[in-house]
Amino acid sequence: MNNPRACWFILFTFVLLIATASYFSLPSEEETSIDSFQHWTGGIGLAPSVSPAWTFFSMTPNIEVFCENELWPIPGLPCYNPNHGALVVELPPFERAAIGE
Amino acid sequence: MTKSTPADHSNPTTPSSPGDKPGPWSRHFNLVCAAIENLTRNVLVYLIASVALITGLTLLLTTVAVSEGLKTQALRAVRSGADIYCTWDYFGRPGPFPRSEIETLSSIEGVTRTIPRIIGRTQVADELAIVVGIPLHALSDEKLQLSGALPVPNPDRPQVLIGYELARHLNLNVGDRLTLQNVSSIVFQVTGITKTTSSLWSAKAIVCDINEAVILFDEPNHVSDICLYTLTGAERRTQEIVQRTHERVKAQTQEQVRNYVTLGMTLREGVFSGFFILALVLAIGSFSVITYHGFAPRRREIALLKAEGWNTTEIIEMIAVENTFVSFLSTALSLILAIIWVRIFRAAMIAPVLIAELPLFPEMDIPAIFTPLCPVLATLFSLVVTMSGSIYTTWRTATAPVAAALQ
Repeated sequence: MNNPRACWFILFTFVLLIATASYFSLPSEEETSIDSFQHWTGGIGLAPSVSPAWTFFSMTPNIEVFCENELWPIPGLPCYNPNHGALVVELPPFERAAIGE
Repeated sequence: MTKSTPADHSNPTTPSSPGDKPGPWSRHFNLVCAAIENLTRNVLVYLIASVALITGLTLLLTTVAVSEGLKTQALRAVRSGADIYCTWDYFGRPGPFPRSEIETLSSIEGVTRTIPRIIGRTQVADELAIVVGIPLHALSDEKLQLSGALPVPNPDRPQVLIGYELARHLNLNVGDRLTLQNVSSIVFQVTGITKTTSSLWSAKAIVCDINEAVILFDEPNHVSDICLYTLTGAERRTQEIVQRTHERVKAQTQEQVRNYVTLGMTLREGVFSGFFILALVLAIGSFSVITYHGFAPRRREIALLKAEGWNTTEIIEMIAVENTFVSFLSTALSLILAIIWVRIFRAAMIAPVLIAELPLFPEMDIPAIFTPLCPVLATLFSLVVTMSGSIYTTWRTATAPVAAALQ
């Protein structure tokens, strides 16, 4: 292969792949280490929200085991909480999981 | 745009010098060389075609990494929290726990520490913040990374610790005063602000002494829940005893909460599915149209290769090699972009879509873990996109009459 552009291309590809692979060789955060804030407060959170603005279930589901918007102001209507199905993960009702285990 | 010309393509079955007999590997090697030269000649076309693929993959990798990071941080929170959480059952849902029952729980054999908590919600300016009232005197020996100091019980001048994002939004600093109002109103002094590296759920939290939370919510007879710490290995037995103390007491062990988090976080829905479908549809369509389906010079090039004596298998193999290179490069670029986006820019613009109530440009560290599975899945995804967008159209062109393909 005499094409210099092709040689540069191969070099670029290898550098990019090595740079990407080297990221995974870096030491990762210890999964089991203690989180001092959580240790101090006894454990707050778990769900993908940093505020209980809509419901406590969106933030800390062991305090509110399902979305309170399902019962108020009119129980039985489709829940209008915009967080449902719109965040990075969707947690099931807490007690459903407890029954299911 | 670089003008494509197949003139420099030699037939891969042709020996490089007279007398050489082409082996099976030299034929494949020649096809790989031809594919690389094609890539370098059509680099602009491939760059434009890969934009949708790289954008989709970057979104996808970011979402998967944040999802994994959130799961890991949630599991750390569970591990760092209490051994048993006790709530009081009201109408089939957790309700306030009577303070009169706390003594009963404390006296159970195997319980080493009992921490009652009041967890409530109150409006601070235009934010709804979570208020966590805990007995600060029992936790004074704990170490926590923060700016300022941990609050201490002080009835004359109540103190609070507040989350980084809330402090930033309200423009509060250590030493400032903050009025919280619910049923009652209390003026607190901010003694500490959590760090950007602190737990995600501390971002908008306000932590104060439980006695001040009692005054704030005017609820002297109840707490939100009770955290029990037990002797190692005594969790299950203690849970059974706790639930026998009163038919309304509900107790969840740390193991049950951990199982719940693991189950819940594995069921990825919502944004993840949306991004995945969007990325797949956009990427296949744009790749196909830009590189092969609607790119006339490429069609003519394939037709000329056929006229030169290449067979359909060789052309498809060359295109497959080209797309394999494109897939690896797209994956690597997407991964680097996703890492920069999350680690340096803290998922700016996308953070509130992934984690509710975060600002558009958060300063808190966004939990994200890029597992080695990420690039593997991304490469498979890229291969599906590039191959779907090219192999069929290449085969159609290669099997069509040369004259028709040249038009």
